[in-house]
Amino acid sequence: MKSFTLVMMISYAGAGIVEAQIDWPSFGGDSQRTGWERSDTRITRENVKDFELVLKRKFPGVKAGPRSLTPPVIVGLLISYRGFKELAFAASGSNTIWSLDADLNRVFWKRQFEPEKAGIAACAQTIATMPALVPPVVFGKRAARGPRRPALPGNEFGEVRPVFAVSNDGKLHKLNTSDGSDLSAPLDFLSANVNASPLTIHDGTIYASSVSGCGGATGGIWAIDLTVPHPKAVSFTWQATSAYGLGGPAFGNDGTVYLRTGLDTIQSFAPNDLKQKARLTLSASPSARTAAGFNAPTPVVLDADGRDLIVSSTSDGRLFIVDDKSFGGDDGKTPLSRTAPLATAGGGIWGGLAGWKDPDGKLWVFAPVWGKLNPDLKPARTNGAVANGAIVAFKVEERDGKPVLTPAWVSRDMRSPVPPVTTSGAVFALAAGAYTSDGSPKGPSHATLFGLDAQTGEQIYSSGNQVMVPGALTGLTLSNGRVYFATADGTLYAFGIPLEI
Amino acid sequence: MPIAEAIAHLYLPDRSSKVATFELKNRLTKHTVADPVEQYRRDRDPRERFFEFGRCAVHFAVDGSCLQPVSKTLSIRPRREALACCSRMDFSARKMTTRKVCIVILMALAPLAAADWLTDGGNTKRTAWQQNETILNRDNVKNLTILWKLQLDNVPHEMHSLFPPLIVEAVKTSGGIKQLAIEAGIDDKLYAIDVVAGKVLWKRHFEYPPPKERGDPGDPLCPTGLTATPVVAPTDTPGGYTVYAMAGDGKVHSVNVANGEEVAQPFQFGYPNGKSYALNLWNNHLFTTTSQGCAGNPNQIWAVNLKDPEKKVMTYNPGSGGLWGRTGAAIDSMGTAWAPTGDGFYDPVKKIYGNGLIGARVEGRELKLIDYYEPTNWAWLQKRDLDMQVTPAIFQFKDRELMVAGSKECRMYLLDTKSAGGANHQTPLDRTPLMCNEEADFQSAGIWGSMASWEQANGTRWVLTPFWGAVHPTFKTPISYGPVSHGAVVALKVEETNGKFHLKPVWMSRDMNQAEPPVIANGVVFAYGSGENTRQAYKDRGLADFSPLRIKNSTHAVLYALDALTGKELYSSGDQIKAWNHFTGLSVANGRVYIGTYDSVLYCFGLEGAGK
Repeated sequence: MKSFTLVMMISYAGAGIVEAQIDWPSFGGDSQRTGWERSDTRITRENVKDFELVLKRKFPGVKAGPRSLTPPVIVGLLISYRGFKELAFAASGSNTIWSLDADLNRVFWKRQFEPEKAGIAACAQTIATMPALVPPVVFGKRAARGPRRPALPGNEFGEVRPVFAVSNDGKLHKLNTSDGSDLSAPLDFLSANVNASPLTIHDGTIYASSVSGCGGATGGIWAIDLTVPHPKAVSFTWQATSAYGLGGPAFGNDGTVYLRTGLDTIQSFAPNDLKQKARLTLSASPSARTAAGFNAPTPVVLDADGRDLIVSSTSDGRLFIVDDKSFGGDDGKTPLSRTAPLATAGGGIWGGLAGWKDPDGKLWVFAPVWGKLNPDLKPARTNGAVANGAIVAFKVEERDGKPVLTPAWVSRDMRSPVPPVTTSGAVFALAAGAYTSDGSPKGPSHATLFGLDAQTGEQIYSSGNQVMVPGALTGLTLSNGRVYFATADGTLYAFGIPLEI
Repeated sequence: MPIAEAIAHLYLPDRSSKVATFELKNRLTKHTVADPVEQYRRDRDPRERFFEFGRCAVHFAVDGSCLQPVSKTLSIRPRREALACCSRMDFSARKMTTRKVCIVILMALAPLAAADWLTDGGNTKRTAWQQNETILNRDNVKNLTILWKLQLDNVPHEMHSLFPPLIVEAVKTSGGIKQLAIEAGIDDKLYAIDVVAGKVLWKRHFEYPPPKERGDPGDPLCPTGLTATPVVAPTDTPGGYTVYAMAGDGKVHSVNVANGEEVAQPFQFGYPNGKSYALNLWNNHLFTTTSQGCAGNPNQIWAVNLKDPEKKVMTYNPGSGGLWGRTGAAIDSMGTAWAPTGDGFYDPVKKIYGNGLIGARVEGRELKLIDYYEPTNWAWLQKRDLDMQVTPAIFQFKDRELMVAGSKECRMYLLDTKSAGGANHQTPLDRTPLMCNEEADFQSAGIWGSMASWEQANGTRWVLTPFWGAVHPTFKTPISYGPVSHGAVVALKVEETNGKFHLKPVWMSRDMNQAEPPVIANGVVFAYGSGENTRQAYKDRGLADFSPLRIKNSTHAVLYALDALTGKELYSSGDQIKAWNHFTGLSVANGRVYIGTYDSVLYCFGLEGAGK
């Protein structure tokens, strides 16, 4: 096996082309929630205009709803017992996880967890929890600080790889990516009926956050250290009635867990044991009307040359920056900087943020804004009038020794955009359709995927009317030439660069 | 009256094939047979179409008193009687009757019945066609039986053991003229076997200090030892042959087939433990290919001129992939060596030609890229490890020299050796649909090994391929023999209509346990299922390509004889062969079929009492 691995590496190195297949192991592509695929194998800025519908699969038995089907996590290359595969794993609220051959659009396997037991609330049946993979080793990525922890098995080339999923009864399953069977006994993890964020594995520990309210489930954040012989869940709970953000927590490079835990509150927790570290509550503008959907979008963590910058938002639609050293300044309440509100009253930043480092080393933040934009927002470039929403892009710049967010561009008009994803100098945004801020459908509409120039926001691609149903409010996945999203009728779509088969 | 100087041609009665040419010399111009003999030896270019294999069996020179063969065709070796040259006869018109002339010609042509198998794949073009078989035929092959089996002292390395034996029909040994099988074993062993007696005549063991680098123990991809099927060439001495064998230290040994003695200083050709594939010999140039990067060996085509005193090693590296066609490179009539490049990337701007087929030729003292073919879905092949890794078969079809290649994807490609993929290097003359491997699996499915080709007397050209695994649900042949779930041989006809070429499937064989490259002889297709466990990845282990695991789960090989026109099974060895084999092949000559197995047993099948 070693010689085979070495041959593969020599083959790549000798060719001068690093075209390894990319994993997308969790929501946002990484635990920092950047949504940034560092080096796609097939997408270039120039060929985004040539995107086509490359995958469409309706999963049977999925109850309709904006959260009933997740976008997939992706194993870019699994050497399975049935050959080399690129596999997409998507979960539904019907207690099912599918594995899809992403190239051939064939179901590789399907795992229906225990039949829905009595007592599983109807609300839980339409909420899917995105599964998670053990993140791969990425060459050149800055190593986590602190003592090195044992690596989780299943991440080396050719090994049996697990995918982690949660069933409706709250149990954590470690499944064999080859056939969906349990690799070990399921663990007690979350409450039954849980309305949980996507799962995330960071440095050997798996995390999820949740809100209260569905079937009596408790809100909070949970973690299981998977590297110990007898893994057991730890948690930090509260009556979290607010939305947790589409991606749940975001993670610093030292493993610190950052989570929006309530109205304009962000907390940090120690990795693995979830000991509370710091808490920052920013007061919203008194005149702001806080719509539920804008309360707690998932933050994004940016790697600023050895320093973590955590970017989050307030319920009145402002962005703010804190860092891992001074979470709230000397008084514990003051971020390093904040913007003016991005939207007018009634609008806000929805779901989460995304981040990117451009080829010149400049850091960017992308915010999905619902509603009309604040007329005081003066980006360097706009791309047409915005009536319903847009992606607003910011550059991170330094002013008076502090990082600030400078508006760079506003995209074309979009209805209910979800946090975008980025690769090869292009931003991909999904306008999910007509929704209220709490995620309820608002009349007939359909999803549209856009490809935008990451530097200018200029539209390069639109899927037009190819999708005729609303998009799901579960996010985007970007991997190996394809951008995936789900729709509210339980269908998985992917647009991208076709691969001749 | 002296015979005028000219060239006469002799055809078969139906004029379907030219049998011989006669270069006529006469006293008036002071030329004798010695002149063309010398001319053919020194001045004639073997690349001339005149000498193209298959165009003509033998060339003679004739003067007023002597008839002498001057053929350079490798597989045609006149018997010693003819080599004694010049039956002294008076060919003047007054003395020679037509009957006498015919007798003379027939005597001279009698040697053409002899069949050799001097190189893996049967010939330099790797068609695996034994054109000179006269003993086995589709009527008697049902009576095949094991004439003998020989347990050799070769020790298997990883999964490798014995290579296809090379058969020399008439070797002048100290004990008389013998038909010998030259068998090479992975353990750096070389044997000469008297095929009539079924006994080892001599044995050599190439010994050398253990090389510094080697493949990991248990890794079937990089075994140590002799990995390249040797090649035999006639010497200038009648009945004399040399076998060129590359030992595991990368040195080529030149060994007298008659007695096993080295006849030249060994020279370095490849890397120690570098895993070279079958040697091919063309115009005094030895070729091989390498893959898997074993022991740090680059993956490329290699060549050396045996006549070069320096033995300069010439290489061409495609920049990506590995060249692991089972029978190494196939060489066309122009001397271009064609080899698949295996799993890799394609970027012609950067001169990277993985997952394709390259043709390289010696020009001066360098091996240069002449042409290449790259499938348009190479990125898919690379992604799923479905590489092009099959040695092509090269053949004449009408006025073109064509070749067929294949891949683990389970397609065949028909290409023109003069323009392998057309102007863009990506347009084959034809490409079949998927014949198997619906799953797009890298293991246990697809086409592995090499292709085969033969031509009927009426000019119909056939090509054959083996494949592993289940037939593709959409692939149909007009003739088939039941469900195929483990492998089969498929036969297709090459057709051309108004300049459009087509590979037309005709028959698919019965199910075989990992069908391997076939050999065609006298209307019979000899094929076998290796019985090898080819699984490399498991649900519970992931990628686990370990020799001990595969060896444990392998069964046994089965030899089949099929009707070449219909694929109908004429013979099966059933359970007679006790062990399996890996990456080897069949040899067929003079009524005998040879197959070696992992336990180092060489089996000889034939007809009782025939071929002695």
